[in-house]
Amino acid sequence: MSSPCLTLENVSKTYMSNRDGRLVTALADVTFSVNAGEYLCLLGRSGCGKSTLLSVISGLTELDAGTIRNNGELVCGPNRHRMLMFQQDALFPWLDVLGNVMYGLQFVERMSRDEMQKKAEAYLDLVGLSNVHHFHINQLSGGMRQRVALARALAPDPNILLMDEPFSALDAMTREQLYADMQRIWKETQKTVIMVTHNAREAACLGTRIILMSAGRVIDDQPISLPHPRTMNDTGIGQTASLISQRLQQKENVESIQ
Amino acid sequence: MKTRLLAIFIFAIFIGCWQVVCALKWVSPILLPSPFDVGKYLISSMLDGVLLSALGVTLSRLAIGYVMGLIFGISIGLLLYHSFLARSTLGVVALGLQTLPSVCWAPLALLWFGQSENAMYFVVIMGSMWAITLSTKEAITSVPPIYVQAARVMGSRGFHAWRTVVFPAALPQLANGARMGWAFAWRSLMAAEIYVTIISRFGVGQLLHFGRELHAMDQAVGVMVVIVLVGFLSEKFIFTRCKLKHT
Ligand SMILES: Nc1ncnc2c1ncn2[C@@H]1O[C@H](COP(=O)(O)OP(=O)(O)OP(=O)(O)O)[C@@H](O)[C@H]1O
Ligand SMILES: [Mg+2]
Repeated sequence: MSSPCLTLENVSKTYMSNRDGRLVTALADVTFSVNAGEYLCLLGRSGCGKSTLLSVISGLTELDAGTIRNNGELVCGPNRHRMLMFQQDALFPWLDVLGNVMYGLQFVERMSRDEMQKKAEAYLDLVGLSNVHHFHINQLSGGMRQRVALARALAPDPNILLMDEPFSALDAMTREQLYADMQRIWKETQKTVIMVTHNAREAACLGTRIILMSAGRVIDDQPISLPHPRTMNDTGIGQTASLISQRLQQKENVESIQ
Repeated sequence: MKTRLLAIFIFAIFIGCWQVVCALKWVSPILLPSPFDVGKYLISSMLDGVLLSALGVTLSRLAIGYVMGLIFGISIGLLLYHSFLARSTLGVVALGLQTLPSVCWAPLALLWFGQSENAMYFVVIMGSMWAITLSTKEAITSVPPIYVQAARVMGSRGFHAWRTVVFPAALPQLANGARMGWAFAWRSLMAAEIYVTIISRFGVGQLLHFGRELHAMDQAVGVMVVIVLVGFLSEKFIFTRCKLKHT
């Protein structure tokens, strides 16, 4: 836990709005670092730049200014050390479940087709989908799709897993099941996870640390020291969640006054 | 099975009525041949090889013309996808030409290529390629960018992403365009074969045309039946077979 796995320094990103050509600041001077094995939750209002932050960390979106390092290496372009699970459904409907999970493995060097398949099957087992290997994507429920997406992101064995609101489109019961599984998978794989959410309870249930964002800036950065595994019914979760919400509101008020 | 039997029964009744109408001379045989005469023509022309060789000639023209139409259509479609300039110039032309009924290419074809094979190819290519062009461009444009981004995150680049993501994602729509192109090519070829009077290598369109010229209505109607059958069978067997699972 000593040297950081990911460091961001003064990261900025501005978009030109398609509609009226105005400049939109998506990220302004973001600086923080993440240690290996952390479960970091990014929380903030819609449009505050959470997805953009994940996108620049993955390397998919270019920065305007600042630097991002992953294990000391400068991030320029996507690579298999940082896998991103998108906010929208991004599974490939022309491949079956196994094909989707295997897709990322073809870029891992020295792997035969058999090994790829073995590995994909192992990750499908890990996410709890051992008997749908040859299902088509549109035969799956929302929860199953997210599990496939998770297996697909984990299979190339990245050191950072980036998740963009992975559970927001699911019903409450499916979500709670996934919270439990997500904690187990995080423990087992020991990945560094950065997860975007707009749900304070979700962040309190999963994260070891929460970063609050507003208008492209980091406005708060706090550890959560409750022991894992947690469930939504734990008393600590509700308290932490309401603390987070309060803090977000306070800080946003202060920001808007300034 | 029952509905199929019923369908056959209804067809039989229809043909029976047609036969009765002709047998009773309610309409002149010059205007409408009896199904019996049509059948007789079909069998005799099948036996002496005229019909089969014409069908062979037509299908080979169709295949060559269609493949060329596909090649041109897909290439221009890709160009339109890539270049804004091409979209706002050639794209507009393609949109216009696509609405042009293929017979309208015949006069130009005759002027440029004379009464030749090439004139027919020209009509088929022009008749089919614009629809293929537009649907190719449409198919690729409508591939959700998120798929390509997902592939890039996992490590796919450039042509690999095209081959493994853009192409399969666009395939259902591309196939649809190819199918439309086929239908257009078939209609265009019939128009071309009727307009272009060639001395050797008769196709079924020419047989139809001569049937009319010689007032051999059994031939004209018989050939029409063959044309319908070819169109129908190709729609039913070639293209419905290759419909994709995930659509
Ligand atoms: N490709 C783009 N082009 C132009 N503007 C963009 C683009 N992507 C994002 N933006 C703008 O940047 C800002 C941040 O967007 P982002 O998607 O990162 O927000 P978010 O926090 O993920 O929101 P949500 O919770 O709704 O997903 C928004 O104002 C958005 O309009
Ligand atoms: Mg977002």
